[in-house]
Amino acid sequence: MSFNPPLDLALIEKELPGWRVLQFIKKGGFKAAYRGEFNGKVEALKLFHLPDFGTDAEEVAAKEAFVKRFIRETRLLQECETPHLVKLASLDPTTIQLGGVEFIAYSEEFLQGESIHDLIVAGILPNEVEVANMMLGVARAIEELWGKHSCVHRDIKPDNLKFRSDRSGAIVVLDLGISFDAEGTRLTETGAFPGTPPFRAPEMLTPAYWDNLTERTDMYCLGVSAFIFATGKHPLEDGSGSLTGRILNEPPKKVLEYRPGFDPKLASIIDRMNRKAPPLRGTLGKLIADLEAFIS
Amino acid sequence: MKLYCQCGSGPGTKASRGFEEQVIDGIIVGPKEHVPGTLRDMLESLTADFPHADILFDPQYYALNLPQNSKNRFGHMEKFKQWPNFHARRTEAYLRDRENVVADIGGSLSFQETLPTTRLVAPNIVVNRSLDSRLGQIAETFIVTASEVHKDLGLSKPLLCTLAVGAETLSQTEEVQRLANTLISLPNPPAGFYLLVETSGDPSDLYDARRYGNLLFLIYSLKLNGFEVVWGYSDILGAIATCAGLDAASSGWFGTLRSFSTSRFAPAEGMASRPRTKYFSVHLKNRILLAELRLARRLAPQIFSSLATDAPYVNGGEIIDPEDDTEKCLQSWGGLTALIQAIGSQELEVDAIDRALLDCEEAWATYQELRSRAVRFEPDTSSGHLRPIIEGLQELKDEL
Repeated sequence: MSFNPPLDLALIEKELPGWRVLQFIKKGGFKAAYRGEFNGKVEALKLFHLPDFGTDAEEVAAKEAFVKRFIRETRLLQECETPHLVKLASLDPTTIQLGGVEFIAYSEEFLQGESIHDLIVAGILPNEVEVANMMLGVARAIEELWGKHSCVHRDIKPDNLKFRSDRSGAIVVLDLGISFDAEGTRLTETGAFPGTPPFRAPEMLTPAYWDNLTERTDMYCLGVSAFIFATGKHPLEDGSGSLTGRILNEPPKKVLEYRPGFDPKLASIIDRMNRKAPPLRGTLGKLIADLEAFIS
Repeated sequence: MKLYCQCGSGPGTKASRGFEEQVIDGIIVGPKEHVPGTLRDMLESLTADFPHADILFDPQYYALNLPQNSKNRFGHMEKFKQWPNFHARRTEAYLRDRENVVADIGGSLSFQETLPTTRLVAPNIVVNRSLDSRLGQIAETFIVTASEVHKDLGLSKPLLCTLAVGAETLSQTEEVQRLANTLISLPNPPAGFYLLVETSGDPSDLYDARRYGNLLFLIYSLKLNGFEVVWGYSDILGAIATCAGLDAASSGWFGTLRSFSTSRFAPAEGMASRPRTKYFSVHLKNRILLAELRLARRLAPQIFSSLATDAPYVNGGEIIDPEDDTEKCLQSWGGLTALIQAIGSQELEVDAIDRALLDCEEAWATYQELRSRAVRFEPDTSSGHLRPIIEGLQELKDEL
């Protein structure tokens, strides 16, 4: 399902007193992002489009529960200590109406650095240490989300991985908005697959598994992101059939098939993350230990 | 990667000779076969003589789940003070009652803590139907509860939870994957698992590509996620599974100790015939008859492993006393240990699976070569075991 991001910046400013909305940045999934300013400080303003839940009592109650959970989980960012997760900024999550459409608005710190997606598009192939550092940072973010909050991000992808400043700085995971609490309900439209299609783990395409997703799902998304970062290609890019079919059934390519000179040890760590069955990806602790050993 | 002796009778010389000759690394004993005091003496003596030996006590709880029959062969089980209510029928209602489960697990673990064992083995039932069945849920509850009881009792030795399944249950790939997911996500995980796969005695029960492949998947998953994995009564299939991360395979000296079946505890059905003397060939990954060894070795010398424990077989085994099982047992363990050393892997590398595949393909080629030169093997000494193993290994490799 798609939505039209509000482009009337003055209208947004009217609903958010004290804010100057400087620029529309991008739209993805249910969200639109803007560069904004509050009290002289530049921040990333996010508008999450609330889907139409319906009007009967049950639907209204479902919507209320949804909004509550969304807000609670967005506020999670405030409790996270790792430098590898984006921080909430001045605007605490709040619901607003723009042109008759409901949104949840909140702001995050504005990161100056490039995203992994930017580097891939620019055709920059990183060296092994850069790939390992990126993976380790993201793994630490997953560790915090899962270990302390039982939370699965579900949308880790190159576009959501940004350097805080330059490429030597910390990698930061953005967009916690479709994450979910392992014991709670999903923060996506009912019936819709979670995540972004090329980065969906096989278990995300199997509704029976939706309530049993774990940190290994995020490890898969990280594996695909790292694969593309390291090789410039998606591990299922050269396959045949639908993307969903390939994610579920086709063996992924190995890093060394696309980048033969790459370090085989790091290549095998990335390949391990891309395995279809979650148990075959191993533990997050092992991933972190392997990456640390590689970097040192 | 280790080989354990699956001990099937009272104290004898086989286990201690096995340790002396360094062809076994540990021993698994059970209450059926031993008198309590004698068992304690035997284990203390083994501990003193071989301080690095791994010692496990299988509580054999699964036997209590057999239909009640005065002719059940429980041996000395009742003499062990594991369970105050030994004779209670382990009906589904009994097994669903948490108090009973806690008492049975706590009784066994507390008893084992006093034995000179190196790890504790939690009791469990055998899941012979679907892993998703009610019995499957009960077995899962036993695993979860065992970890809790182990913690609550403050026991010091690491805990291995028994996971006993019927070979047929391993046909369901999705169920096995779900089980692996569940076990690696336990909130209070044990140190490892003591796997048992029940067969009806028909080798094809587990010599099946899908079942073996799924079992290898389970073993690999558990190992990769930090668990120790010991497979009881696993023999050749266990030795080969060390390439997929199995920590210890196990094998005994009779056929009944080389594959797991609760029928060993059920009323006897006729007299067992004395097995014919066989030679375990590391190259063929099989036991072959002495006549087959003599003939085949002339055409394919590699089928003779030339290990220290092969000495009595150098001239075709003529000097072996058919009544003395010890030399035969040591030869078998020596071969299995050599096989484990050749293909086992602690690093969980795909290369190890490749090595095992290549090794099995070479065995297959040797069988074909011998066949082309008119050497005939009997059904249980022929190459029939190799294709399911090769295909099972390939199934795991495809997942990686």
